[in-house]
Amino acid sequence: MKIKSKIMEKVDIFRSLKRISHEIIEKNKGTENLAILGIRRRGVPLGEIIHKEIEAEEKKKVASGILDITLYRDDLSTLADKPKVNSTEIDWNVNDMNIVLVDDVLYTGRTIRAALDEIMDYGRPRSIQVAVLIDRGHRELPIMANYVGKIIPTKNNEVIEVKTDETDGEWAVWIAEKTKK
Amino acid sequence: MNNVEIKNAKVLIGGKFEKTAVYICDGKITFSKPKGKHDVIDAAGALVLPSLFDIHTHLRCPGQEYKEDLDSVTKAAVHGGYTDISSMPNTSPPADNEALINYIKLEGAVFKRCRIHPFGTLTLGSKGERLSRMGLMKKAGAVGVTDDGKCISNGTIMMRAMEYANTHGLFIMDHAEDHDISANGVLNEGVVSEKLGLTGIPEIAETIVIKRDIEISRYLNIPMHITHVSTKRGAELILAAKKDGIKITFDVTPHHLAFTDEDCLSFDTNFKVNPPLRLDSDRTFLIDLIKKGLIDAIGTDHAPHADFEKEYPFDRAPFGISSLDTAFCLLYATLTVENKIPLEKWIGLISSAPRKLLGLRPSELEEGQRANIFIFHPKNEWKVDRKTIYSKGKNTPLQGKKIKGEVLYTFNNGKMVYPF
Amino acid sequence: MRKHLITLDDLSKEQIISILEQGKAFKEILSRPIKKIPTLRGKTIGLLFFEPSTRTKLSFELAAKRMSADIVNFSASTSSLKKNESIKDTVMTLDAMKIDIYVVRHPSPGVPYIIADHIKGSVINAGDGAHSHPTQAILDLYTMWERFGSIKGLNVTIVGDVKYSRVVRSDISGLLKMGANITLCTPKTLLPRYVIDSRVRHTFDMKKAVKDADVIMGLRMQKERQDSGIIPDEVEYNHFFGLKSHLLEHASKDVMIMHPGPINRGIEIDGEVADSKNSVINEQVTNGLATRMSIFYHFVEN
Repeated sequence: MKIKSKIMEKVDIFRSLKRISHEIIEKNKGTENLAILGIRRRGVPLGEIIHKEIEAEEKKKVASGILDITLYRDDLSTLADKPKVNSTEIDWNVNDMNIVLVDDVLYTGRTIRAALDEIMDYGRPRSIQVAVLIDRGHRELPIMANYVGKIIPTKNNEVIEVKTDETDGEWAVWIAEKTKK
Repeated sequence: MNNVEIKNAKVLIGGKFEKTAVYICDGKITFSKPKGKHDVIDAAGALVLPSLFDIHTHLRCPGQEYKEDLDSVTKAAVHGGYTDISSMPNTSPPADNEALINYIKLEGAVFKRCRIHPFGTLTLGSKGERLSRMGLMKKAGAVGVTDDGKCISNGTIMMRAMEYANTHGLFIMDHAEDHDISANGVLNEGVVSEKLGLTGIPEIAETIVIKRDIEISRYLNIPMHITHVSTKRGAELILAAKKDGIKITFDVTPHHLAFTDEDCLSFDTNFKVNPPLRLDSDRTFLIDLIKKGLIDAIGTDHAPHADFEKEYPFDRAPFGISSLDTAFCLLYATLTVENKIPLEKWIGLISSAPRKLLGLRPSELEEGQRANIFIFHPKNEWKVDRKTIYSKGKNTPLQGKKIKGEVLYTFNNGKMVYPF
Repeated sequence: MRKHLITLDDLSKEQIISILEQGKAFKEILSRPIKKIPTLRGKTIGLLFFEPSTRTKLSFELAAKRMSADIVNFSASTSSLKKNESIKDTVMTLDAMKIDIYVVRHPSPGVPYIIADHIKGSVINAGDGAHSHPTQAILDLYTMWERFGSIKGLNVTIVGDVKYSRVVRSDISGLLKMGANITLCTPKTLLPRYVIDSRVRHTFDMKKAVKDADVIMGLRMQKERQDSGIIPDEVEYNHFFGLKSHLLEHASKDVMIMHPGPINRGIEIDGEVADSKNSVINEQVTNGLATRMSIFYHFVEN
């Protein structure tokens, strides 16, 4: 892997997340029936920041949770090593909720597809929206994000690496190039 | 029949190996070159040995020809260096009358490969209830009596059967097993059986009967032979009894000298045998007795079974190892290669000793004796597989393995009976 | 790579921990309104039960269904077993149907190995005679791990029919691997004559056996034992070795009572104990489902 360049610093990330939080409040006309659901792994710390921001701004409690989509992946049988399964944590009733899924990068759309299927197994939300820090294009499914931090056109052999304090010890977004084996 | 010269081999004469040519002339052994034409066998690197005698073979016939028949068993015998085998009477029906003894003697002779010395049962149908016609069986050619595969549990019947057998001068062999103790056991009771969750056969199932048999033999003053002793304790009891002057003898099997219950850990049914493979301490003790010359004979307990039977799960597969084809090679590998006991020290246990026990004419590798010999190459390696085993029973733990030491030729009364 | 789960020796300590940890995620699924995930869609699981079983079979079947696998059932009646139908022929027929995982229960120890030799998929042992029952051990470990956070150093007392139990063999193997202390309490006729591991202690005094226990596990006393003269009768057995409520006074207040089921009330365990707040017998059933899902996930071949 060849690191090319840093696209976002911590301050850029937080600025984007703050804007996304405000857009979420605006779009949903407040926080009633709103829930923020981070997708493991890097959607979780991003979701937490958005969740905190919304609660602070509106001074109201907002539901939040964690979604682990491993068991809903469509590529399980093609992977050599089985990915580790973690728990999904949703301790509220999803019926009639407006759920915002949070992830780091929107790419093929397959993760969001898996997340949509999993949420449906919990019940029937009023709406599901998608918030991502980076949209890098190359969709393989008809899926779009409602809230985007930054659109970065990429080549297929490039990799977007979102680093979070919780998972990587720093906040940053890098673009790298896959070197051929 | 052509005369034969075997040259360049080492020949076992009078307990010692000598490098000499040996000739088969008119079916007899001679060391001086006969006149006229003869075939030559160049046996460089090989050994010329007296042919073998098995005191414990399950013919399976009549009645269970799908496991083994007289053609296949005699082939297996001569392939293994044996020109004489003693058949066990637990056939179907059991050999408990003179007609069956006649049948085995006559039918077995058809193939002209090896001699069969039948045993008859002690009791009718080996049921442990009424005496069989031991006298008439002896007259028909039975060399001994046994209820092998079973053990007479009733002491009174055992004593009467022995007294009656002794009346006719019959050799008495007992399979020492307390069936109430061994019950549903399928392998040695020990750490291995506990680990596998299989019911064990405790050592005491054997030793308790050996102890009884010793007492009966002592009380009646009738000689008795305990076959396939598998435990250290059992052998110790017999050796102590011998010291006391009790006329008791015993044999062990090649597999109890070569394998242990740990071989069963893979659930391989080819290691399922009765008496079961015991601990390594039992095995090494028995080997040590051979070193010291304290064992009376080695018998194969050749017990062939059909493939499908040994494909049953371990607890339901039948007991037994098909042994005749490989017994000598396995003994050679175990005793001589692994334990450094010279061949000349133990070969008597499967050649002259059983003949002596059964009171048969000795057959030595000597000038003028009938040429009952085989040629064994200790360095040749061969693969044990379905084709190289002539017994119908392919149930040997050596299946698929390579073994060093190969029987090249077997001669019965001067006639080459192997290769066929 | 193809993997089998025939005994707990097939798993390292790390793999056991991985199955336990991920079992939590599967247990969460069981609390959802729609208890189904698509993970094993397109996979086929064959349930080969050569011996009657209700609970274990149900648990495996439901675990497979929860994961969207297709299930085929093969139950051999005891009568065809008596005819000595060849296991090899049976499974070779099944293998031609392309089954991914075989769940095998058989009265004879070692049969899962025979099956593994003749098929292309993975074999999960659902109990082979008195030999092994690894998924039961994993659910038992999970139940302890979930409650205590760790199994290392736990004092586990096992009472009942130890000698003839595949559950005990697997539980002991798993508990030793995870570092628990084990005490067996049962009459000598129900103890193995040869101890598998010197770290396993035993006592004939139930009071001593329960005293410092964190977990007490009861095992089903088979009725045939008294017929074959291994115990005098159920009354005497219960008197000396039954898990009775007054014994709990000697145990820690939070002692966890386990039993693989089905229980014999009034024989190896009193009804009051089985129904007490200390009992996790029903929780074990739920955990069995979750851990079997976790096991399927680990053992399905890609």
